Amino acid sequence: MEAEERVKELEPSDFSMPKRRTIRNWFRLLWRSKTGLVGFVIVSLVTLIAIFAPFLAPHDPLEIDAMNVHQPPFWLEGGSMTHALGTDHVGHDILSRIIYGARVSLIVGVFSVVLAGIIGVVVGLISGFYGGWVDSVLMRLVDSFLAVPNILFALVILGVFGPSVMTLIFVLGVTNWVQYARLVRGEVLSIKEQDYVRAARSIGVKNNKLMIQHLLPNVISSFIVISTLSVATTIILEASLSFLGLGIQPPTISWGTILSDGRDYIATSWWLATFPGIAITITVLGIIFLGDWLRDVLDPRIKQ
Amino acid sequence: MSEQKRPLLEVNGLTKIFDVSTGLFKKDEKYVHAVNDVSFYVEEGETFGIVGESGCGKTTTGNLVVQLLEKTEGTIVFDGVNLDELSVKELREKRKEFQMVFQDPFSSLNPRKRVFDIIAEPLRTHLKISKKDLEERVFDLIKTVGLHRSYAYRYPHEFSGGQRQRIGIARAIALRPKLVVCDEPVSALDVSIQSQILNLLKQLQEEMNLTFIFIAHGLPAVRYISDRVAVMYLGKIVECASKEDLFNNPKHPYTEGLLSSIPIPDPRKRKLENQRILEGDIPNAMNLPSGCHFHPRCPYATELCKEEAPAYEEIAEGHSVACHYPLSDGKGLIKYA
Repeated sequence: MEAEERVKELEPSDFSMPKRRTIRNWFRLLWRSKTGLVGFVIVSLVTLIAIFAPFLAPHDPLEIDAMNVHQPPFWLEGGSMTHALGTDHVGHDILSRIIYGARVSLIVGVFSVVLAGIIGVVVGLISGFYGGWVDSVLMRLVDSFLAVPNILFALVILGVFGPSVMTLIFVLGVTNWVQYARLVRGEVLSIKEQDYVRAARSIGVKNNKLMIQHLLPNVISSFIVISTLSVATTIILEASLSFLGLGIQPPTISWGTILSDGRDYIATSWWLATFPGIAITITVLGIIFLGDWLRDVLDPRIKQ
Repeated sequence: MSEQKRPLLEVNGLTKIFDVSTGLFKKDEKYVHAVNDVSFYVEEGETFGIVGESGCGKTTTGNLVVQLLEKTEGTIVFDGVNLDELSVKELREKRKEFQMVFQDPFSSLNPRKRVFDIIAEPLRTHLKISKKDLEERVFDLIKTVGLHRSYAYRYPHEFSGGQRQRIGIARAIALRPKLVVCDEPVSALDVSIQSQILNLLKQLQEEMNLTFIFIAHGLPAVRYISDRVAVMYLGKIVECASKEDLFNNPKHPYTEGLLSSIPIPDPRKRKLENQRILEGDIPNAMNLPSGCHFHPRCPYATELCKEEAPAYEEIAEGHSVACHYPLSDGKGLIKYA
């Protein structure tokens, strides 16, 4: 069957004009890949939940039900459907808090990775491409960023500017770009010696065009893999900053804050920390699946 | 045509030294003389072959000519213009007149670009033409190099080595350059495909009045396509002559050795007493032999060869050689051409 297909493919009469990537086309590609589809469904579901939180949440996340503190989830003894996933030590409804927490967690997770990615890719491209003293200067900058503990750096910035979602994105972005810079630089170092880059140079293609058209598309796969993975660590990092009191400030809720609130009661009320943890896991899994699929779709060498 | 026929390319005293010193503060200073005082010229419309063993500097010479590497010394005069005197911008503009075909057809095409965009890149870079004109020219080029136009929207990985090399050639001739440097364009291909590509190059040369510098380590390909041939050894040209002269009447012992390394298919025509098989390996380019670089492997070497480097001189019309004792005509050698 395959051989037949190949012969058909090579037939000169098969004159296929460029396949434009329409939205329909993208969905077709998505439909064909199971992981991609699962990832897409999870990510869009979480996004929709975040957007429509006020309509979906059964309670106000800040509402205190003093009569029902430390109530377990509904299937356990003492639980009820009023608080499907239980309540915390002051009687907040966990389900509602998780639904609302998706907003901040997603925003912080995604945007700080995007910010870190942009800085990292630009620095990595320039450093790897130009080499020489430019490379030395930028890489020593990277080294010095690595030498300062992330938490310490975050403490200083957040201390100076005051904690808010914006500063949190900034801090997480600025502390995480280093890994992308190193990754991209390494890739660029090997790709720029390829003949197609030298060919472009001998044609007279300008440096910035060379970087964008020849180098960037060829480093993007490893970048996508790393960045989707680090959405997870970023959400966790946000949680630990919140735990230190420098992250999201109450009454704003994020999965990280729910998680760290629940940590004190892990021995008695396990559901406090478990459910936001599961929410983080599922979301991150979805993003990783989606990223994997995206990497494959962007690479013409992988048969779709 | 002007009365005074000047060569399209004139290279004088071209030298490239790579600094391969190791250690943080360069305690261990080492240099590789990849190309050492090389001079040659290329006439318009001819094919100038450069042959030599691996590591003799022929690829470096090609890269220096198309300005992919910066030379250490020497001058390159292209079409009457000294390339040193051009500004960065002028040089970029000039680049469309000399292009390169690369050795490895697998790494010379960007895996993420469609064939159309690969071939269109030089046109987009240098010309401001409408989308329609661009398409027309690209499809024209695809046809010229013997591919079907339906291939335009495929990616490089879908092609064989020979087809990829055709794409590389299409890219190189897209701007109708005057000079094309072919850096071992067939050595990565199957023998059956090699001749197709060589024929394509010959045909293009006729149609477009191209000038080629053809770099190779395989003598048969060079003999087939070249008009004049230079033999390089350890960064130097040791002999340069017309194809007939060089193959029938080599003056340098190294050329003689190279020629007798060509396998002869018919065993009855092999004459063992005529073969001069080169012994030993090519010396380390970081630690060059004294005098004539070839003397440790030369069967005719004398004391003089060890001490003094021979000058590169024209000893017969259009036949230059760097040897103290150039071989005399037809001295014990198999006839080739």
